[in-house]
Amino acid sequence: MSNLSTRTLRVTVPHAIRSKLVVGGQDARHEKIKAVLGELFRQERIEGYIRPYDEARQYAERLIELAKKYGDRHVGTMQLMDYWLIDKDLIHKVFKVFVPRYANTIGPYTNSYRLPIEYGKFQQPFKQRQNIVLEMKDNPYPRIIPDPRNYSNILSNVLLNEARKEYQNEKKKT
Amino acid sequence: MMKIRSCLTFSRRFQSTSSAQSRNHLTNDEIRAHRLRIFNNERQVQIERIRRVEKIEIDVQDPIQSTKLLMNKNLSTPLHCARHLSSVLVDRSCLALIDDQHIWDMNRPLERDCTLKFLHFMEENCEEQNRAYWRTCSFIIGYILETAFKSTYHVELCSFPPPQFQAGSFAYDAQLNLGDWKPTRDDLRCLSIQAYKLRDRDLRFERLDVTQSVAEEMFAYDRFKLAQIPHMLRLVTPTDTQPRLSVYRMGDCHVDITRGPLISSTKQIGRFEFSAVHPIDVPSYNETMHRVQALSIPAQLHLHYWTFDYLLERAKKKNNASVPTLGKAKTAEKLE
Repeated sequence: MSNLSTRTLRVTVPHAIRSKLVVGGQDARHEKIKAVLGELFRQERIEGYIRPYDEARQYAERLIELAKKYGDRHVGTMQLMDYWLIDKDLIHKVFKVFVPRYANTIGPYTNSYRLPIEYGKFQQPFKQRQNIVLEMKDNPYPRIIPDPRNYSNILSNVLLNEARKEYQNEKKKT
Repeated sequence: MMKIRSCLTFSRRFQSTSSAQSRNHLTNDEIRAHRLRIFNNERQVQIERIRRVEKIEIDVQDPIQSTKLLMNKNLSTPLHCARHLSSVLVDRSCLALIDDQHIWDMNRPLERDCTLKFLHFMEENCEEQNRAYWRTCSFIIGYILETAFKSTYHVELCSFPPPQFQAGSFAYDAQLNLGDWKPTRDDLRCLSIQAYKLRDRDLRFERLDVTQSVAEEMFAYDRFKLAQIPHMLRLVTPTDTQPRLSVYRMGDCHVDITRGPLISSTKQIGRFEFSAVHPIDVPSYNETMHRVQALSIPAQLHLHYWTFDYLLERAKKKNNASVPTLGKAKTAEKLE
């Protein structure tokens, strides 16, 4: 348990009107979100249509928040976990893997990246679906956005550094 | 004509110590053709020494693809290996790294089984590539000085200092024999355009290790080079019987002595601008020579023209890198 927790979720909530995810009312919607949550916690990096994934992201963040704040002895937290996570071993994973991993950080524990929209991939050729990648932070896979490269040794930068040093020496003298 | 002859008689003092042949009647082009002819002959001799074609296994390690290649010993170069892999490697790699230790030219034949990596100008540590690039550019200044002037003027090349980035420019020291010639902006521009023509011709740099006798024949008309030859001889491989000198040829145009690796081809030159010509005193040869300075960036690196002109202003100042000196044999380090 850590004492770092917030009351508000630190993920972006889109301004768009929240539209229907699936036909079938609240139950079907919950089933959809449970499915996404299960995949996210199990595989730690998933790709899919932005609308259910964005909503599931908020639920994922909330679950981890609660797990961090209350720990696994708390009845209410355990009931929520039991409801939202279908595979019960994922509940163990949340408390044993994610809570220690994110013990010292606040803020979003998931990252989402937009993928390019590919036209013509689905049955209806004009349908465009914005897909996103949802991933837990600090997951073991290689990074989606690569580390910034170090270009300080290329020739133009070397020459410019020398010129800058000379300019500063000149300024110091005068 | 009178002006030039008086320069030569003035420096005849030094010429008597070396066995340089008289070059009053020869133009720079003819002397260059002589050097190239000797180079070609020696290269032919060295290729014919390879009796059987043996195979060596090269393990190419590249972040994109790693493969094992079976290449010919003493005939295949890292460039040939790159051609088997991809054209990106051919275009952008300037040096090769053998066994993670030795820097190798792209056009130098491989001699044994090894691991190979290709180096380009935008890596984390590109110190070696930067130095090789500026060394190549100094080499190119030498070629331009020999070919840019009219054939009535004799230019005698001396040597170039090792590349130093604090100075902000690379240089070539030569006895221009032009009296009090001060280059105007247009003269410098004309010289720079010669370098751009070289880039369009895509000339390769080839290395040859020659013995002292061949080197002295090659540079028979260059008195400064003849004086440097005894100081530049080293044993190239531990099994070698004679100390050798490394000589590089650019395309089929120019031959010069230099120790270090040069880049793969002139296509990799980006901007090349001559910045200034300064007179320097060279006590070893008892003469006043000219140091021709220039600035260049490889084509792979992009630099805005304003920034390049700012660096060019800095490159116009006199480069204080080491003046050509003839130290004692074996310890002289004036050429790279």
